[in-house]
Amino acid sequence: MAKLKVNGVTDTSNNQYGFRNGQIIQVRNYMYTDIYEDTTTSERDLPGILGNGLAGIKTHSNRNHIQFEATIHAGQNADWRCTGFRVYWRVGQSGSWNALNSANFTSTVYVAGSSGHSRATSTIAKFDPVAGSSASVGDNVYFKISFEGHNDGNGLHINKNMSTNSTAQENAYSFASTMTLSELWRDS
Amino acid sequence: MSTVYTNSVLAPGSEKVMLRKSGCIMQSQQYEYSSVYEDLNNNNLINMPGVLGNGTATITPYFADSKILFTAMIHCGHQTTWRTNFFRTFYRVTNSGSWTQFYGGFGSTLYSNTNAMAQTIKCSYLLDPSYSAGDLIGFKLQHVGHNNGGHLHLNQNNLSNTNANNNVINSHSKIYLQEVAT
Repeated sequence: MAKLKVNGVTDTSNNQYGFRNGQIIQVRNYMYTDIYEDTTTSERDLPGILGNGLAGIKTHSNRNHIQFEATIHAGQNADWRCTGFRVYWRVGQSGSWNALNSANFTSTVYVAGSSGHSRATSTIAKFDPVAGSSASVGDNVYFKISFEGHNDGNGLHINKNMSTNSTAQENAYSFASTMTLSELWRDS
Repeated sequence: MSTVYTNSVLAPGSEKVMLRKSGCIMQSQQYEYSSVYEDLNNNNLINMPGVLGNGTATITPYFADSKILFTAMIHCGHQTTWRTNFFRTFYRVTNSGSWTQFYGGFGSTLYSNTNAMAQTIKCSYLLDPSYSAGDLIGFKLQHVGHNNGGHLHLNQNNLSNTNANNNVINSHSKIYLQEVAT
């Protein structure tokens, strides 16, 4: 079978049919399925791949943008838990972390006198990794998420859920907290 | 005009398929509001502030038969004892078109005797609006609060028991629009 190789495809009205600005051309997904609990109130990185800075995507061009998505399953012990999540990115493993405030998000779970409840919270944002950095073609762009709990309801219980009034560390319904990275094409 | 028939069109080097496929996301547009905004009225229907409610959140599809994946992400804050907020979603074709409400509404409830709880609500809906090639499609959100606790505290969050107008997490509420090829 012959292959036709071109830099662009247009119709007779010059409408382009190739990659276009904003088109998703690559997707990476990272997940964390363990249960993780933490009672500190100061900002800390999330466990595993969500916070260790190894979740990355290598863009095909330094013109392209990245779409960041995350879903966190926040569990609870009676009575309530309130947590803020911040997102950071950097170019390469030795670069400094930059805040991606556009993707920050929060979660609150409140049920008086009962434990084991859970809520899924998610976020989406897109940004230009080149702006303000030295990213170039072939660079990996890495992400991490941190958390910080409310002083009066601190306590993170990722992926903890059960259908009984218990504080046991169970992921009864096989939740996975995830991070999804997509590369968005840009013409220029 | 000659016509070329082929089973695939590939980019040089990478040999990636360059034609659109059904379900492919063709473009993404993001509109954000990061200030703290409060509406201290109950059961009061209003447009959301800034780009969330003024109709400037738009997308111009590349193709006339595309669908639009609409995503709204709202960061709802809280003050004792509870807050229930509802959001309606609208679109219009061209800036002079009339607004059409679509089934994309959503709600948020927070309940506690402590101030400054917050939660993120993100909902997505796939729309199939009728429009012509080159038309701009605009979106907006409206808010109404419950009659017994409907104050809106958009992007308001603190990590202590206070009702101060802070956004310590730096959360951004937004409308996120994506063109989906058919």
